[in-house]
Amino acid sequence: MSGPPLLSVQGLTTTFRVEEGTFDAVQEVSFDLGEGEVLGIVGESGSGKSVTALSILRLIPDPPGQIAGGEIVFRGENLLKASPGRIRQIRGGEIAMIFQEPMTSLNPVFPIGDQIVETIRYHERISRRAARDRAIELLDRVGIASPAQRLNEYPHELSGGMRQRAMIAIALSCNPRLLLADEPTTALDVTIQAQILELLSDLREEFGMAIVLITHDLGVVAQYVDRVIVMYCGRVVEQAPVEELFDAPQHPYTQGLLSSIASLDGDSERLETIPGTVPSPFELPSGCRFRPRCGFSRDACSLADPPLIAAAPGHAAACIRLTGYALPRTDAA
Amino acid sequence: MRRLLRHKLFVTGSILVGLVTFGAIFADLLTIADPTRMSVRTRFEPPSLEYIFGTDNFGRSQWARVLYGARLSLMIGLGVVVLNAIFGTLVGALAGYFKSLDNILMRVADAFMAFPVILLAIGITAALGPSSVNAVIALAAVYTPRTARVVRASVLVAREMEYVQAARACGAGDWRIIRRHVMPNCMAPLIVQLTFIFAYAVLSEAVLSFLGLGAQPPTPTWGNIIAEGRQYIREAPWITVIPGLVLAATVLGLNLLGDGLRDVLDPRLKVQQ
Repeated sequence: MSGPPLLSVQGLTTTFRVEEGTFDAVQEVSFDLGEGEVLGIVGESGSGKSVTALSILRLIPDPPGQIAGGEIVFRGENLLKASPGRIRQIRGGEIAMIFQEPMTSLNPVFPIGDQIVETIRYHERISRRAARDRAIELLDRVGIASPAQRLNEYPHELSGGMRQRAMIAIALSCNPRLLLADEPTTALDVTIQAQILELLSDLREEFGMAIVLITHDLGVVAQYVDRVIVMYCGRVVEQAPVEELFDAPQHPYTQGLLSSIASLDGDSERLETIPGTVPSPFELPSGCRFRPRCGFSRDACSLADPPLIAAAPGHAAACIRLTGYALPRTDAA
Repeated sequence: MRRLLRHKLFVTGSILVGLVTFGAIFADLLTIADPTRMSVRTRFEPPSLEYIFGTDNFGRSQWARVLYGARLSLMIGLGVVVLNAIFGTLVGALAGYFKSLDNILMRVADAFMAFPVILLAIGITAALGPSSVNAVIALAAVYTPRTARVVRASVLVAREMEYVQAARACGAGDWRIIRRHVMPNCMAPLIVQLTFIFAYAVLSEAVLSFLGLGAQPPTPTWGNIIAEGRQYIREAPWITVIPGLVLAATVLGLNLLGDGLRDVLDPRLKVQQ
């Protein structure tokens, strides 16, 4: 990474107000993303990864959600202070997003071509005809055969993989600098998953855009990302370059995630699992959030929720084992 | 479309409504009689070849009066439907999409719906003065909250769909989302609802004219034909019975039409046959 980051998220906290009270779906999340970099955000359901992505585009439904604090700086501009009109320009224009369910992310009553043309014309003053030509090009680029005909087809006439390709075409339609991909392959067949990830990876090289790839499956994305953030209960528990994360995971949760990946060459008969379940956001344990499920926990762990502690350059984990169970001073982070 | 044609009730409804509409549109071709021309010599003629539906107490051709009445009744029904479609959609979409407006708009709608339909319509027409235009306004006002509720319910579903989120992530504004992504997905229930509103409006209009609050005599509408014939129901039952039957057939036809559309547009609601 050189120069200022493309996207810098600092201390992002997003809260949700529900009947039982208010909780932080995302708490004090910070990360930087360079131009053209691919960042993986990994975590279980409810760990706050989708909320983080939605917060970047200010798509958190309010109420019940609210971005309570922090900064999201994209190319030098604080998105949390941008006007609604400016945010709409950014959405789809400079930052695009694709969602998990290609089935429901496309409007069932319009042909996919219309939906691509529509997005292009939100952002650029070009003729319907020119937008249509661009849509054909895009569909061709994302690997849809005979794009001129597919343009007139409705979402239900396409397969899941094709729909996700169409979604990607929509996302790419205005040459975004950043693509937020929220579990783009979770709903797809394994063979299609690889194709879609391969496609995203090619497109990154071609368009030079940065990608945030949100997933709960570390194994699937490993070869496509540069750096990984691991989230647990709304907090970042570890961040590291991908090789380092696999070689030397520091946080017990990351270690648990890695050992629960099924590998074909291993001779273990049973998959490792992490004991226990994710706590409810209203019943968070005192101190470290992972403490009740952690094999290494000691009394010191219950005293404070540890901040990220540097383990190596570019590698940090929120675990006080790194300091020999000594509580770091809170201002150290 | 093919499913519609296989739906027997829908076909029956279409035929009934089609016949009445045909009669209304081509009233001047189907009869040469003037529906308002009185003739003392032909009072109370029973239905015959010369006077298909008989004549009334002023000797006017019932056939002509029922046909021209159909014209007015359907026009009024259509007017109510158009106003309903506009305002019901607007109110429903606003209430469903913007949570802050939901409570206000729906409580106002509840207030409207707390009154019996006819009572409220009578009140509004009485206040505005009796005429067919005012009957349209009154009926539209009475039925708009119902349409608004139906639209709101489907908007509430559609706005949570992921493609709305996706459209927002592509930079679409609220109005664009409502117009392009939410409303098209609410059309099916709206169309069905409007068909039923059409039927209710035709029926209620007849009630209003029967009470003297709709179109004024001598202009024929089904309601005031029945009202005028009421005094002679023993001597000349055809004066009241025939427009009554036509009215019933029209309302039945529209209801069947609506049921058919609902079954075809929304197969989930289909009752096992």
